[in-house]
Amino acid sequence: MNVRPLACPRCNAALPGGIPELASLSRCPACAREVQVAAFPALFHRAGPAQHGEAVQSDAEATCFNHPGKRASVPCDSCGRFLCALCDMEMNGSHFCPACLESGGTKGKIKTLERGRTRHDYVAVCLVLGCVVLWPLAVVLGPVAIGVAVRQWNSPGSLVVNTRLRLGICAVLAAALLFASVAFWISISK
Amino acid sequence: MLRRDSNYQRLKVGGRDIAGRASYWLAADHLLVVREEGFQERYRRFYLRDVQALVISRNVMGLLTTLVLTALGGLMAIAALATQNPAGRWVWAFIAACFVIALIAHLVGGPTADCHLRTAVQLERLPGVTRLRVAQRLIAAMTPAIQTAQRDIEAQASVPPTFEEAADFPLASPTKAPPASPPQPLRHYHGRMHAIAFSLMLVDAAVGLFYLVTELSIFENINIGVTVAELGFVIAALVKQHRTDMSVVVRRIGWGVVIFYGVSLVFGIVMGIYLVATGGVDLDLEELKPSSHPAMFTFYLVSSAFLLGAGLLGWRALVKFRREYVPPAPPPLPPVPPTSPPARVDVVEPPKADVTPPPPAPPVA
Repeated sequence: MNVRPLACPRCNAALPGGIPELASLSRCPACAREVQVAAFPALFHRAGPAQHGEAVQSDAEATCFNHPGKRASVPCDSCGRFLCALCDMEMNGSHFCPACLESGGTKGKIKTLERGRTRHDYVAVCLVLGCVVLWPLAVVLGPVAIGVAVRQWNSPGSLVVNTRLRLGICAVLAAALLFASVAFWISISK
Repeated sequence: MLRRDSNYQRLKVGGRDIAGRASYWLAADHLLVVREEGFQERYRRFYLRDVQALVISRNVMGLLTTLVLTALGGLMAIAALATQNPAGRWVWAFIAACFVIALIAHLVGGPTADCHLRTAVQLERLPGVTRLRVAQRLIAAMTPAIQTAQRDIEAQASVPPTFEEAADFPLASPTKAPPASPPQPLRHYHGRMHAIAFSLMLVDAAVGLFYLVTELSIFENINIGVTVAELGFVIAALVKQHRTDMSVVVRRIGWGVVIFYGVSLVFGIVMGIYLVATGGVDLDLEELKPSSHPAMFTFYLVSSAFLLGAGLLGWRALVKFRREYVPPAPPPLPPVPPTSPPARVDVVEPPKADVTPPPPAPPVA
């Protein structure tokens, strides 16, 4: 059985020995850096032949939407089109066609394909800090911070923390600083 | 939100590095890495069925951080001692204390390391995992989940092979790095540059000791020249030993000399500033001689002793390495085909053609 040899991440030299020797810290023979490897069964797994879809045997069989000559195996869970084994994209037990998979990734319809979000709460926090440091300018920065908090209230926030709580606190602080700044400028103008 | 999602379990391995902060969330079938970079939150999912290996490799960031924090803390402490103003002294002492606290926190954290996750098509460095202890904790937390996800694969692979059995496959290349070449075999290096560098270290130590005793400027000039040459050969040796089978001791001595010269440079600068600031010597470089201050004498003595020890140890390790080197056996010649008697060739003489002589030329009248 052929497996890819493990290599040192730094110098790319092949690591000698088998799995037991590498399970604890051992030195790379090329760069002398200590390396430890935890290997799993997938390392020794030989991938099977790629699926290309079966050809249609009779006219009564359902065919793939994209490949009329291939037999349909599953429908797309998003749009319902029939898919052959070549077009079938399995994701967490669901089957998607390539078009739905792409749109799901870009529009955020499929949660497991989401690659990132903008942290609007950080933007609001930075604006409020700007109001604190340059508090006479809170007349300008305060409304911007409130606008960010209100506008992004319903946008998807962080996956980890409660973004709305931060946005709410920032809006309240920005409003307070705005009033203080307005009072300051009014007192100066009088 | 992941904190309230019962499908995800937060692993206590996340951390912060230069680029941002990372947290790790383990689900039944994948590992979700949440990375905060500025105003963006990036998500990476690694499906547990695809994980082939987790590779930990120690790095030198811990040592460098220790050296930098020690140097800066020492610099601030010397500045605090040298300052006459009481308020200024407290300020310098406070900054020095901050560096010392940072150094203690860094040392308590343990050795530093990188952790890579390998699949069939990528080798990804896991962000935020910068300590050996944290990386080992990550492996301990992920191993049961990965083994559960790869149960059916494990059943197929009955006998795990060793890596030597399969040297014909290329290595999975890092995602953000240029395409990696297949693992390179180590070449042999006899250590000529190391031999020259170790010899120059011994010469440098001897000249330094002569200068320490006599303080003649001729020895000082020779010392400077030998040091420059020695540094050049040490750097050449470090370059030449890359991807070779050179012994670890010889490698470390080369790196140790480079680090020693770096620390000596910083120490010399700090010492000079301190001596000039406290009025121990004038700014004139002629005054910076071993006899001008006990610290300078100690500095020269320690330098010479270090170079003497490094040169002797290096030569010893190099000789041992050369003795223990066994040249690889040449590849076996292809088997010679069995000698058989040459095939008998029956030479058949062609039938002689009837060559009739040309008719005689008619007589010319």
